[in-house]
Amino acid sequence: MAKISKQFVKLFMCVIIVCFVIGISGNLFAERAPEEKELNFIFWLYSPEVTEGWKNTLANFVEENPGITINYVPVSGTTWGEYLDKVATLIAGGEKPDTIWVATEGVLFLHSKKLMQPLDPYIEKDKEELKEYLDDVAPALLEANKIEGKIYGMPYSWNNMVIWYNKKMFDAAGVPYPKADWTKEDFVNICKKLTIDRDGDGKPDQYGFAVEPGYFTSTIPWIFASGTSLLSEDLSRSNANDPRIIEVMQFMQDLVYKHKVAPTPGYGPTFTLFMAGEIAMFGAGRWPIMTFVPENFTNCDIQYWPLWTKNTPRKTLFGVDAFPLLSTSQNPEATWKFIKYMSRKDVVSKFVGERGAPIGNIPVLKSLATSEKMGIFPPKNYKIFYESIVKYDAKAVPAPIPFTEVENIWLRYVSSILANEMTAKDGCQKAHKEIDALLARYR
Amino acid sequence: MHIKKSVGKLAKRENITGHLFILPTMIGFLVFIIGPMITAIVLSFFYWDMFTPPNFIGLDNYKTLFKDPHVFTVFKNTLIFVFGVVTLNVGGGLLIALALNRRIHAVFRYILRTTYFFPMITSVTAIALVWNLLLNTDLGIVNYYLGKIGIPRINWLLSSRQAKVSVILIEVWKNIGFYMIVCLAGLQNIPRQLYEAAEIDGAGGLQRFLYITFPLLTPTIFFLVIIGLINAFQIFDMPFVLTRGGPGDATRTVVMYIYETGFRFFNMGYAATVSLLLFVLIAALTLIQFRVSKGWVFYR
Repeated sequence: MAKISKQFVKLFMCVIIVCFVIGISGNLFAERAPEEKELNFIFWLYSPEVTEGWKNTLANFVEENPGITINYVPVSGTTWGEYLDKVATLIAGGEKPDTIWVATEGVLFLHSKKLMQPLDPYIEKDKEELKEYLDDVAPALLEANKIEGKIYGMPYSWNNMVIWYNKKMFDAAGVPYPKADWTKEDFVNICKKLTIDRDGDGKPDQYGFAVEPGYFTSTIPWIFASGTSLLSEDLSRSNANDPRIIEVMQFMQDLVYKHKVAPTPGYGPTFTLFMAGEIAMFGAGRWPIMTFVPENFTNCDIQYWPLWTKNTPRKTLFGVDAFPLLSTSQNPEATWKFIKYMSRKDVVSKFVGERGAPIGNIPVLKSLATSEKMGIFPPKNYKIFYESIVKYDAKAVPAPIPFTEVENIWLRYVSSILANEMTAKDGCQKAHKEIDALLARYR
Repeated sequence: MHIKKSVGKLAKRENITGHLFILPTMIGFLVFIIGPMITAIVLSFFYWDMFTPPNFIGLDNYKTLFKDPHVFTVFKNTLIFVFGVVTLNVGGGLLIALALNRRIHAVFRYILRTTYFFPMITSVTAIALVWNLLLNTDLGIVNYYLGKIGIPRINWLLSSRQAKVSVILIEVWKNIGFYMIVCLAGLQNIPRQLYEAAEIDGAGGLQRFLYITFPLLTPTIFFLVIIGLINAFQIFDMPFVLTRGGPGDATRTVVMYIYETGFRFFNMGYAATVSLLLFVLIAALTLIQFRVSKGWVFYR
């Protein structure tokens, strides 16, 4: 017994030593030549082919800058918020990214943790080179990346909220397509005409609209339409008990339980149901084309979000993404090159997309967002994407420092209201109390 | 004297060998269990957002804990889940195992066993997504066929009451195979002679179950209850994907709440405090189980 175990111990020691040596030599080999710079780039992996897409986008960058390599760090998540939470956890865990793909939802949070550096000195230095970009980008998009007058990210792509409609279903029901100046009453009437009980069992088999307990994608666009916002202008206070917001939530609840023109709100596969002709309209930005194009589904178009009343001025809701220079960056100069590269027209133009690889955001440059190339995909009415942000009052999605927590509180009550288990008034007032108490900690 | 000494030496050497054998496990235990536990206890006295250094706040987290209405809700939800999931899993698993343990054709048994076990090895996310489609209130296939036989649409996932039941049912549907397999193994370990002897003594089916099968199966059932309890307390992924905790807080579990507090709202100290409460609850329940088990678990 003793003999066997002695042998075993020797073997055990040998294994440990071998592992140790391999570990050390592995580290030695991993050591890079000093002149080679590696940029750590974190991005949102919203679908599996994203990594390949970034590699294609950045192929020229790597070619043009021989000393710089890129370390692609994909991070998954179902929403921007969830992705950004994970990025924050990575950084807190000691990861040192140089730049990340960040959307409006995360800008103030990153700033509050002092994770971003202002880009103004860099922009000043390369003013000439960036002139074309700065002249072409929509001002509201640039503004959304400014904090206290300093710019923290170069906008890359964006989305606003519009109504998508299934033309085939409109044609079948003999309903004319919606016009740009439609109001919520027109909207409800159209929804009613498109909610149809085909098999006569007393329950509809197709619905006019899909309501989802969402933030950017569902409640905020209606709140903006009604002329108010969930939070105060400076994002320091809750506005959830505003009578207009209660009215909006009542309206959304009514769509389901009074007018009965929308299925019970959950997290269903809306795009698929839309293509299948079971839902005639839904709200989204440009991203549904990522689902529609591969399925060759083109019989649809978009229209502006309905006006609350004929007299309520239109207010555009948008979210924009950008590339900031992070404080954790080990190579600020190389990172700036990266950020500049991402603002080049030939790079942003990739966002117009190509068949087989449609990209679901709107390019930030006017010349691209309004170019005819956008029309190779649905929607045919793509021009309203850009128009909405320059022609009307355009505001970024309300995203204070504790955005995830605000969203979480709001959606908790929204889901109760939309499940018809809480009145709009009660839900909004409770949400207001909680959100305000939370924001008070940041005032 | 000489012999004694060498025996001592041998024993010592064997001792060292033994320790070396358990060393890897011990290191793992220290690093992955004891370490984080101590960290959690320490963290519960701090406010820590992971970016800035922790800030000592004394008992504030504990004060918040007892005032936080969500804590009560998520613990209540979790207890409902635990009760539903454990009873149905253990009870159902035992029933299926008993059914499969009868004299049925081997091929038939093989197919049934595999079918029951299959959901167990499938990813929770995939399962939750598919069930989400099936259980869609207005456009889902389940309600469609229920409608055909005259049952009105059930709000499977979108009403507070029903969503809890749905989560429990899907959770049971997924895991019952494991309980069945373990019960089946337990049943097959019961010596045949006992049944033969009982038969000679004139015991009927029910008597054989009550006096032989059940007592000899109690260690298995006890094991399943403990494992089931610990697992059920940690339910997270199913409601996370299926209902995102909603509507309202209806299906939010303790672990979901801990995750949200820690990794979404970056309040690690408070998340640690809630997790300690969960730990105390699980530990207490397990302890009670072991105490009570002396009364009903029968070891041969």
